[in-house]
Amino acid sequence: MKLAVLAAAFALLAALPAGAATYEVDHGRSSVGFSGTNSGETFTGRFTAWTADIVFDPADLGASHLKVVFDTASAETGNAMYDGTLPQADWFAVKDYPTASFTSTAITANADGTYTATGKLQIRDVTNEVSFPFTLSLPANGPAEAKASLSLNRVAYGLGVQSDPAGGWVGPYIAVTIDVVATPKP
Amino acid sequence: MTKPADRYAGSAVALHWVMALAILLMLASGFVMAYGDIGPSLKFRLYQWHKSLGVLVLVTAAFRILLRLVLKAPALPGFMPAWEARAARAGHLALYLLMVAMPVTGWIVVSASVFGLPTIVFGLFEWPHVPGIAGDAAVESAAKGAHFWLAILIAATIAGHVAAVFKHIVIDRENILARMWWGRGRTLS
Repeated sequence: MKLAVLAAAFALLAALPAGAATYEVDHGRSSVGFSGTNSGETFTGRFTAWTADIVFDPADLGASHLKVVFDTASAETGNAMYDGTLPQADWFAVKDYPTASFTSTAITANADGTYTATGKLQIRDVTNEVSFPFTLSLPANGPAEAKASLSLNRVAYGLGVQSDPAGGWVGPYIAVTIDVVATPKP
Repeated sequence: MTKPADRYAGSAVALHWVMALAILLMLASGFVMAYGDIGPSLKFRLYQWHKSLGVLVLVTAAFRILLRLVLKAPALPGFMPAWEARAARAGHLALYLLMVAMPVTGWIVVSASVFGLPTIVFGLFEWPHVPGIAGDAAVESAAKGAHFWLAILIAATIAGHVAAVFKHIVIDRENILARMWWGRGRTLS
């Protein structure tokens, strides 16, 4: 009986890719979106330009890490008024801070099969530690898909603190929705 | 029989009434959005709409003044005493100045505002900000004050303008309103 369990465990390990794999994002099927409210009405948007360095091994989370760099000028909502405002000095200030980034410091497995990513999120000149859970599907064949959503307080990152620090117009909490489809590089 | 026409040209009449409506809408929306007890959603939309209509008023006012210079206004009717004629000319000049000063000060407020919100005219195209004053709180504050007091002034001037029409119709028994309406021939004998 013990032997059977061991054999099964070995079989499982053998099925997993050996070592940490570097993943390549399929941008056509991936998205990083955001949504919030302005004067009580919901807006949604997304970043159209970002890159991700993903090294992941479910058997060796210590060697797994993630770095995502967003082109702040690529944030778009489809609303000309918001799109004209976001790049300005009080918001993303794209001239001074052309990128925002997330760099993981730890990826841990949760009991329910999800993972938690912890790392440093830099927006403008503010870097805060954030931690958020994500789900991961790692089919034996086909690309991996990770999904996460987190809520960020824009004021804590210096976004719109001149115009609306109290959130009277633009709600302080911005929901970020991440859906990344990636395949291991050969 | 061949006295010169005493009506405004048809195009000038059209511009007068379009602007009359637009200015009343601007005053109403302006006071409601600044002092009305309305929710943020309606307030935000009203601000954007007010900005859009303000751009149209500015462009139309410029066109109207150009037209006034080209076409010339008909002479004031002969029944008016000299003081009335002077008051009418001063009132009309004030209205022309205010219908430009109102949108210009509003434009400065929007351009200097810390919000930095672009003006997308009725969601169709972007009207640029006045350059060089973005985020300038002192300029914004001064322009806001001017915009408010000019609004009071234009409302008072319009009230005087309308009161004068009533005076001519009710007291003088002269249908002066016909000068600013479409039609043929002379309005007054």
